[in-house]
Amino acid sequence: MKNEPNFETFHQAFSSRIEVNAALDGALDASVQDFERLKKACLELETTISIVDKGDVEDQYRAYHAAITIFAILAEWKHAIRNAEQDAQRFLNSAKLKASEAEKSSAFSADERLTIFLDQVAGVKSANELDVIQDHLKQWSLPLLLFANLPLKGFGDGRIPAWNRNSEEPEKLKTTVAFLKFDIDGEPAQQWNYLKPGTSYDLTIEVRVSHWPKGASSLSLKPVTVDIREKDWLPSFSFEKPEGDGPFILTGTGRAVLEIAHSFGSRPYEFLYAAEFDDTTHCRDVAIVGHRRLLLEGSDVNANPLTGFSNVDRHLFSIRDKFRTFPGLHSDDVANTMILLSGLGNIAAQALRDGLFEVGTSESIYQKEATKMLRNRSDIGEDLQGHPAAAGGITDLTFRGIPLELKVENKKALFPKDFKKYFNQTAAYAIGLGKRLGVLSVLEASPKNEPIGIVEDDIEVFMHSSGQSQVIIVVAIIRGGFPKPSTYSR
Amino acid sequence: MDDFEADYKKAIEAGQRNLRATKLLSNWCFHAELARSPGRGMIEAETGLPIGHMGVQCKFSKKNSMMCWLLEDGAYDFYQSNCKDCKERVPVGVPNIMDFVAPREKAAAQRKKAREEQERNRKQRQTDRQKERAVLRSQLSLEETFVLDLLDELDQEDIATDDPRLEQLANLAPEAFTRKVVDHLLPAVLHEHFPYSMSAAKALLNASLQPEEKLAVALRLVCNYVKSPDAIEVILSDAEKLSYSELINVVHRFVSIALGPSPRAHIGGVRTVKIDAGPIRSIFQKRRTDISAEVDILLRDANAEKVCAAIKIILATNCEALFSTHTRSIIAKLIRRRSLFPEERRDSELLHYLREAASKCFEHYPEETDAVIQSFLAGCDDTGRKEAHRIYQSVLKHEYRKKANIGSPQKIAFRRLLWAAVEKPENGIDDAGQFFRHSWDGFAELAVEHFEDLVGAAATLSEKYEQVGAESTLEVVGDVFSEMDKNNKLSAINSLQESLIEWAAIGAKSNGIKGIEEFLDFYRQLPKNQTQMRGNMITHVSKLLTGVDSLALVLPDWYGALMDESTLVRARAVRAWEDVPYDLVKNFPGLFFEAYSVLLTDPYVIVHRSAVRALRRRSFPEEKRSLIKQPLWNLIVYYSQESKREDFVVDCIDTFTYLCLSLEERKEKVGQLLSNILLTLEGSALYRAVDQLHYGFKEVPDFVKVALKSIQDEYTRSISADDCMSAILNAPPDELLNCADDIRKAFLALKPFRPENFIEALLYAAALTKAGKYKYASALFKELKASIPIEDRFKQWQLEVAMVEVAAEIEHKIENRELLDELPEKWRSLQSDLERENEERAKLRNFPPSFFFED
Repeated sequence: MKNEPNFETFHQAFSSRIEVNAALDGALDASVQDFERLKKACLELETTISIVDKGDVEDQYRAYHAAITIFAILAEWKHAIRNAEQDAQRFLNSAKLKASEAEKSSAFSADERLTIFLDQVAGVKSANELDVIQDHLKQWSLPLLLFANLPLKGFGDGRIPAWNRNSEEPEKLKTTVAFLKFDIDGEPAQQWNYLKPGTSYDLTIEVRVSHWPKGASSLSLKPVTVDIREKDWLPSFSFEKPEGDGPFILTGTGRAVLEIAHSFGSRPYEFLYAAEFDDTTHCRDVAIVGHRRLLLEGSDVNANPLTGFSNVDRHLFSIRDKFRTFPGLHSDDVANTMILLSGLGNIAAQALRDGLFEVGTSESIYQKEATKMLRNRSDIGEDLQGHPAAAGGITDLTFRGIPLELKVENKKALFPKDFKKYFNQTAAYAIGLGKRLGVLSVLEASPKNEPIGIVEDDIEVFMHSSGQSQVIIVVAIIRGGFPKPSTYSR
Repeated sequence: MDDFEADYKKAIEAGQRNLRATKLLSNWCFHAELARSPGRGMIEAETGLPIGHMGVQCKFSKKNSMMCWLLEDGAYDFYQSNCKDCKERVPVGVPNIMDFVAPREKAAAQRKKAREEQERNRKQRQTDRQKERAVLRSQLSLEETFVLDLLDELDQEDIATDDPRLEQLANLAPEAFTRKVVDHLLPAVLHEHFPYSMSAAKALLNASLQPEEKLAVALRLVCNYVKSPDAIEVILSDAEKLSYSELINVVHRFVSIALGPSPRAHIGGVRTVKIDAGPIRSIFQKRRTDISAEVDILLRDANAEKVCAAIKIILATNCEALFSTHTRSIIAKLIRRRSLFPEERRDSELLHYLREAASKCFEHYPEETDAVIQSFLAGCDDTGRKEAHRIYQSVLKHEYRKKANIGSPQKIAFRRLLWAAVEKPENGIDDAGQFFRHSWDGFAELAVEHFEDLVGAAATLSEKYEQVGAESTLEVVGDVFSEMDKNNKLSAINSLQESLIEWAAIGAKSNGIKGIEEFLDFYRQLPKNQTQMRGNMITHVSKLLTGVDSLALVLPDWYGALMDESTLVRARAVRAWEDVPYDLVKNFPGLFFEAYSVLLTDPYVIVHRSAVRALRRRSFPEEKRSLIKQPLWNLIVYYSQESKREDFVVDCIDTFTYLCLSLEERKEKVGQLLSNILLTLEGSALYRAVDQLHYGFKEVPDFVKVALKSIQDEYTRSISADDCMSAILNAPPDELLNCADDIRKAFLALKPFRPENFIEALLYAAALTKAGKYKYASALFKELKASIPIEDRFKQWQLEVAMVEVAAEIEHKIENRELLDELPEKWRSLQSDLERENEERAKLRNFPPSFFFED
């Protein structure tokens, strides 16, 4: 049991405490009897509190004891003046010095009553002012020291290993490896860097090592990534131990090639350069500081957009990031859905730009047209299948197991959230195909009187609860039924 | 479980005797009170019999009896110290404790009488010997009488048996030991048990004796367990002259020097015994045929003691030929021990040495012994199987920081245990399986060599898991016990599989990059639907980490598992975070942490629980903690709903506070919000709240209220209120002031006041005075004082209560600048009363009767 009452300490501390309190009354009087009694009680209290360990209540006792000790000196000052002793002022000076020192000691100096007392002592000029201080001390109450903390026994000096005292081995030093520079083709690396797939770039790294660990012969810098295919895309560096004393600046250049084009798949390319010495037994710690994380996009949405439209690409990236926050989605499914969405994004953007679909386009025409346009894409092609059976129904299209449900809305200009009525059907197909993702694409070809169709509003992700499980539905709206822009001005 | 039946019977018997003793005690005296140590065992709960340590109390006595296993012992002790001359006794009825006290008293008187008789006889014989020596003196020279003088001194009961004086005299003045003296001493040395017999024997060994006399003296010394290298030397030099029966006696004695006392003899502390196998080995060389014949005879005997003696001889000689000859017999006896030696219990000496011998056989001749064990295993019972596994395990002992010795026996044993464990994986307490529960780096070499066996065995367990899981369709629905049994089996299989994979991971790790690649290749080849196996593999993936190279290898699969479709795999993958080496945390890419934080929002309980659990064991890097702050908060909010409150919410709060809140933030509103959530908890969750959080929540507003609620909760009180006490004692004064009324209520809830709750009462007094509520404390202690009955045994308690009351009253008056009047005087008088009382109590000591010698 950690908390046990300690009666002996309680009795001793409290007995001295009431003795001090009783002696306080007459300590400033002409008779020295009470003053002597105060000094004695003060010593007893000191003996008791010297054996207790740290603690709130213990510190209150220490603060009280500190105050009483200083007061005893002040009382002596008064007696010395009264007896016209030589150099009586020395007692006051001593008390003031002790008071100023007590203020600095950490454990109990925060005690409010002690602070007041010390302020009072600092301001004392004549012996008459001591009565106020005496009054302050006389109403100083203390909690009962029933559960005094005693210092732990059994850990003598011999038991604690003296590993950093008198050891012959020199103290181990801390080594810092600082990444100073990250250049791609001479340009400093940015937060996001676009590299063209299949093209090699020069990656330059500059590091500073504060202190080379004793015994280590080389420092290696290796890229760490979460995808095994990306393992060798970025160069590893190895530096031999340089001559002389640190700090050292080491520079290396290697080839970086992104071998696979960056799809909209769930895994962005992230490389973290780790620094490791071959032997660190003589080194206390290797700290690594500076920018060493490289985020690479395999495609440049501006120069080479995957959908063909850079604004659509940017929105699809945000959708991909959203997928990553759903636990338990299979990464291949996410990648395939993104490929399908890149196709749908292309159709949506084309439809807006060229007015592909007229007012009142039927579902069969839309399905035919959409299939054709999707199959035209090299990354979709034959994998898009029409009318496979799932969950007892016929899905419109599937792409590598991801269902794509096509619908047409010819009456009103609606937004993704307005098509919730179709969610159950899409979700049923997804579950039937063993997926947790489904895509619903709606051709909205109602007559338009005003401009509509911002991609950010038209492609959206929803979490749809179906029984006990949840299915993610992506709604992509293709806009049709646009008049020529000049008609708006009529 | 060997001795369960016998222990059970013993407990029942004690319970029945206690039940009767309770009745007799209540008949003995109206004032006698039964006291019991707390806690109730399962047998008591089942049978209702009073089983446990108990003693007697009485309001007229300060001395209680010590708690004894049998109430009769306690009552007898109490009777002797208190009831014998008691004038306050109020008899209730008959029969009473005299039923068992009277026979004990009578037996004690008889023993006393017998002892006195013995003493008289001894004194008589001593006088006779003195007279005999006096007669002899007249016939001896002066030098010779020195020996008799010394004998007069040594012929006392209180002389130590190893008194060296006589032996030294023989060394310094051998001429004093003439034939006459020798003739006087020899009969005493060879045939008597006088106080000086052994000293004289040692002395005679150095005197001039006939060789056969010397041998006889040496035999006498050795057979009397006297440590005398000279005697041993004499015997060894004349070993050929020993008769068969003398030889056997000497051999047993030498065996005991070589083996030391049996483990059973270690009760009551460890003694260092000098072990010396030299004599037995030397005599074995000289009389090999006789000793081997004796071993044969003893081993063939059905008597357990004789078999034990034979085994001890084999062990002491450490002769490989003996082990080889008797391997079959030793293994057979051990594996069939249930039928051959049904009387032997868990602490049996025979079993101890049989196991030692079997282990030695296996070490010396691994292949042959293994073949023998396997031949007996077919058709043996469970005990036999356990013994067999024990033999294998005995060579796989592991000592901390010592390099394990790995050779042929270890390899055979490892393989045998592995397949034995897989054979019956659903038996959680199986010895073979137990070995694999904890993996040791020292045996990494074995794990490397048996890597394929390990993963193969683990994979077969998946099938067994599914088989057991499928059995449920045949069970009757709602049968709780069969469901429980099935769950136990499933968890045993699962945990064995996990352990085997952990061993495999250790092997892979110690095999370097190649090993890690092999491990990961195996993982990748597993079919997706083998989630059990995949989960168990991925959970040990972090144990493969040794540096950046291994991290780069492991990370892709681990990351993939964090995003896996299977709930179980995700949960296991996130758990692997627990074992990541600290140094490598800085080399994890941000994507990993993002994936981790997503799992805290996973809708499946198993996943987000695992994520929180792992965070409690290995914290997140500081710069990534913003990722987990919101998900953790969401979990706290969700799990603090009324129907969901359980231990897990405490884990979430603990993790959230530790990782996401600074010390300053804890003192603010969010801290109070957390305290309010904790205040809604009950039972075990409430206990855990204080147990886990009291360090970090020291300054969190309202946490004292949680501690106060917990300390009054039945569940907490049934375990330990110590952490609640720490929380209350360390709380800042203003927090305590806020809860002054709650503290008061908690104090009053202790009614009716009992001495065992006094510490808690003191705790409240300490808390109230720390908050400055002296008046409260003094009033409460006044009430407590009034409720204590005025009886001698409560006097100490009464005085302590009164002192706390007076102290609080004094502080109250000091604070309000009131006159103290006679209070300091009262304090001093109470203090001196208490000192007197403590002195009186120090004289009373409570020990059970068997601690004292009679008289």
